[in-house]
Amino acid sequence: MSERFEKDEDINDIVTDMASFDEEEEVAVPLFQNAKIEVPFQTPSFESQPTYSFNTPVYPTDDECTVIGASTIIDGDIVCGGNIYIKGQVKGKLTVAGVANIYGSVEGDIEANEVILHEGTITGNVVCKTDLTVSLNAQIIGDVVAKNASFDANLKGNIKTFSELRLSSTAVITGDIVTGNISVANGAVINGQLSIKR
Amino acid sequence: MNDFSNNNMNDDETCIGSSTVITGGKTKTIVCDGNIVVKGQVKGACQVTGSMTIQGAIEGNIEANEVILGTNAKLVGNVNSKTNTTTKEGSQIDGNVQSKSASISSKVVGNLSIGSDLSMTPTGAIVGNIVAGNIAVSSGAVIEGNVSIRHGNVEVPQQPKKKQEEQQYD
Repeated sequence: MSERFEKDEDINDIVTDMASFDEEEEVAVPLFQNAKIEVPFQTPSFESQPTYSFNTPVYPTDDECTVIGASTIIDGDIVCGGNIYIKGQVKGKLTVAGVANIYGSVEGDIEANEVILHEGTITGNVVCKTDLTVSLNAQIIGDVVAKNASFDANLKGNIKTFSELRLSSTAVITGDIVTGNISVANGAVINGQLSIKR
Repeated sequence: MNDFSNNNMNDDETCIGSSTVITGGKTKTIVCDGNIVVKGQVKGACQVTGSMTIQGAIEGNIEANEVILGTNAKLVGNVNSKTNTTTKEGSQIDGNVQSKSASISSKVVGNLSIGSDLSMTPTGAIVGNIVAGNIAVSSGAVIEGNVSIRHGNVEVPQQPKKKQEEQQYD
């Protein structure tokens, strides 16, 4: 009887070992699913997260700095000699000599030295003298011309960059691309023609 | 987003910088649910539920809970303020002012309709007709126009007379 019990215990051990193997396999499956990234917008990878968005001071106490509050709607053209922070809505043309930080929505063309789209939507063409950065949870519907551009999100329109274009794994470009250099992360989506000219 | 709380300005605070020019159309150019500070130029009507501080120039009518004109501010347009209107020395309003109370230290070209208290400092100058509940004028202030002080408790005798005349004619 005792030998049988021992055998039974051995069998139980084997069964528990098997169960533990199953558990390990079960743990491995969701990790694999996470790594797959079926929907790029809902699963941000930390490597692709931009480091600029929260490290920079948001409100310089400069007289030339313009801040459009979250509950403010401006229906008209804006010409800004310094930096601008848009957290509300702007319907009209936007001309900025400094940096345009956009957290809200802009319906109209944008001309700026630098554009950082943290959140929200731009509906209109964007002309950017230096850098254009589009973070996750943002969207541009319109054509883009910039010196450098970095996309973590959606663009519906053509894009032309003179030096560098960086597409992260969450970028989705629906339109033609003309660029000097391009770097595309694994997972980025491009629907359109791509031409690299130097 | 947590970094925003460390700064002095709230989410609802709007500031138009000194080198910023906003030109709107026929509709209301700025609709703001919070407070606004205008240091630059705005051409168009503004509607603000909080206080509106003007340090630059505005061409257009203003509707706000409170209106403050800083030094060297200029406003061409009518003011409609629910509570208080304050103009500081060196600023100017070209337009009518309708407000519950007002303290004028600058030049105002237009009619004033003040619900309760109107106070004028020595640097204040009003070119236009004034209707107010109470008025306090410091020595040195300038007024060109009719002044009528209508207190809520005092019955104005002219209005019932007119009614009686109308009744007689009828």
